[in-house]
Amino acid sequence: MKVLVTVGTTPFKSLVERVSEISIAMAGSVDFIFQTAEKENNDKSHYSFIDNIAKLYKSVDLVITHGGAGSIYSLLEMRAKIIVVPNMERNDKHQIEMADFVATNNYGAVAYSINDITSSFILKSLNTEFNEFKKKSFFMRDVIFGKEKKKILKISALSGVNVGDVAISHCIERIFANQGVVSLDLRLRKKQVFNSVSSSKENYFLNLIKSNHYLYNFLLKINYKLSTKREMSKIEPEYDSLLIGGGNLLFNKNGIDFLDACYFAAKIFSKKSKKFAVLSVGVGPFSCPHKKQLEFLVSKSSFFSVRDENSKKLIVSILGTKYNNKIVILPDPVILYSMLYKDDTNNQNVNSNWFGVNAIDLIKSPQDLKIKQNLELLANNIFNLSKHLNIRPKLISTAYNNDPETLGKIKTFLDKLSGFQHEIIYITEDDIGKLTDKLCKCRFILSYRMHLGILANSIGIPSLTYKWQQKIEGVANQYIQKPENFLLSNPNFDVVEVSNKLKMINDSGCISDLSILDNIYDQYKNIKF
Amino acid sequence: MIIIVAGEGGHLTQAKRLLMSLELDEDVLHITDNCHAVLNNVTDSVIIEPLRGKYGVNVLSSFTSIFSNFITIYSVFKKNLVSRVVSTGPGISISVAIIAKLFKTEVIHIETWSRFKSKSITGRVMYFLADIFIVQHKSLIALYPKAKYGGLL
Repeated sequence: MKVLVTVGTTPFKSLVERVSEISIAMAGSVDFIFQTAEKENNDKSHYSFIDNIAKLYKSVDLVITHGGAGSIYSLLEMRAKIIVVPNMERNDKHQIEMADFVATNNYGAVAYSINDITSSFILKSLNTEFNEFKKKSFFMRDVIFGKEKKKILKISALSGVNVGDVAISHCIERIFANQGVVSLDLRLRKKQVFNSVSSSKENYFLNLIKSNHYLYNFLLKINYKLSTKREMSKIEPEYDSLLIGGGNLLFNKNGIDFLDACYFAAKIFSKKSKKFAVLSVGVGPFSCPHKKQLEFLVSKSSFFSVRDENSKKLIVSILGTKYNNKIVILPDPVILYSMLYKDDTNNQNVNSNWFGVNAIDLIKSPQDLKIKQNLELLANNIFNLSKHLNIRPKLISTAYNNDPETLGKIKTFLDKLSGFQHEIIYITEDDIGKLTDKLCKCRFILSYRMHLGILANSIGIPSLTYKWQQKIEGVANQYIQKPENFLLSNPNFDVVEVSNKLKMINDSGCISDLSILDNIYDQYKNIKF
Repeated sequence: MIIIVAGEGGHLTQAKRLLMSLELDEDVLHITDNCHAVLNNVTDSVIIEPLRGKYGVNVLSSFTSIFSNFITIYSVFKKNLVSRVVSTGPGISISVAIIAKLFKTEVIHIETWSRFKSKSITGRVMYFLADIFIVQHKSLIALYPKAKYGGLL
């Protein structure tokens, strides 16, 4: 028979000595092996360290062990027969609790005093059947390591009234489906009801404040701190990380404080040691201080991406080349619309009987663009185009601040020219995923709104977009094979230009290359938050 | 990054069992007071000064080692984004938990498995510092009312 004596890492001289004495008396019938803290005896049966102690535990008939929890649990799990001897030579006397645990459950024999260990005690223990140790295994790992489903808060501009922003949000949700992404407006305002034609009331006092960018932005900052910051701090504990994007978010102009809103939200999460990532955002323009906010977002984010080359250039020009490697260019997610909403494709191009027109009033816009736009001329061009192609125009609205009003004006002009009522199509949030329903039988679209262009192109309706902003050209370059065919340089939809480009599109065939879309999709999928 | 605090002997065994066959997306940093204490599936380890020997406590050396430990641990938190601190019960976890509190990082303490009816010194302190206090024996809930029973490692 074999008996192992094990004392762990703390010396337990009295036990080793006692069993050594007994071993001499029992020599012949029982072999003893000693694992001691330090080499105390040069005898062959003494080891200070045993490589594979588990194997040894199994090969012996009985283990006389100190009261160390690690040894006892391992032995009990292996169903070894044990005698527990609490080490009272230690400063802390907690081994007695372990001994009590074994004694009360009758998992093994216990020698509370060294003198209890005798040859007869050892023989008796060898012949006793003890209770089987039933372990309730540890079940809190998921809680400890956060393996529970993670929740990611995504903030972007959603309270606005632009279908483009909503489309971005929906596409991101689709890309990261089942990853617990929850989308909220970046100022936590409730979504406005689309389709309601807002009337822009002129307010002299408000306009006066708005004309001073610094003052207006300062007031907005106070407003944010008073309202949204508190709400954001309140919902922050529900989420594991923050996702900022996409769309044009990192700017402050015309009294829009998206940059500050992103900055404060990121700060709230960062303070709680939670990660935040910036996803395919547009950067600029700025009319107020912005360096501090931008630097924070770039340097502290776990992943920082902008949607085009121009945005990157702008950040580099502000922060220097220090972050050149960190800033990734990640194209707008709406480009992937055709992959994300596979059912939403237009197959009825053959029977097409109308074309869409979308316009923004750039003269009234606060963007300060020096563009020779003339809505009456635009309406005239559309009328001529419809006569030339012999199909009717329909007006399409995808944003609801001033667009319905602008389109209304164009409609009036058109109605006068043609003598019948033109239709205005309102595209809302509900149409994302089933755009073909509203754009059925549409041959092509002339657009100002970039995302209407992307969406229409995605479902197979060629869309010519007027490049009133640099971003339109930048984004077109990212996904269209021959982008120059899809961009218009005349703000009034010049008949000659439009018909030339339509002809070129007809000749060149498909709009975008599938491998480009695959690449962009992979880029998104490889992001680790 | 997750910090796991485990010294030697039983605390190390518990840490080993905690991390066994666990796949984590995050880096794991092992803070220990014993250079021989090795955990297998961790990214890196930091060795700090032990607070006491097994044979006794030297007040002066304890004080200096506590001070130098604070500096070491602080620099770890400053350099890395620590998501949580997990302790399996050694005394050094108190210093780590205090720094973690400064950084508002979540602290999870698993009370050592060798206690059934009494509180360990570390347990007493960590009960107040830890955000989640886990005990491995139901009998300890009587001593730590807010603790959660988590089963035996």
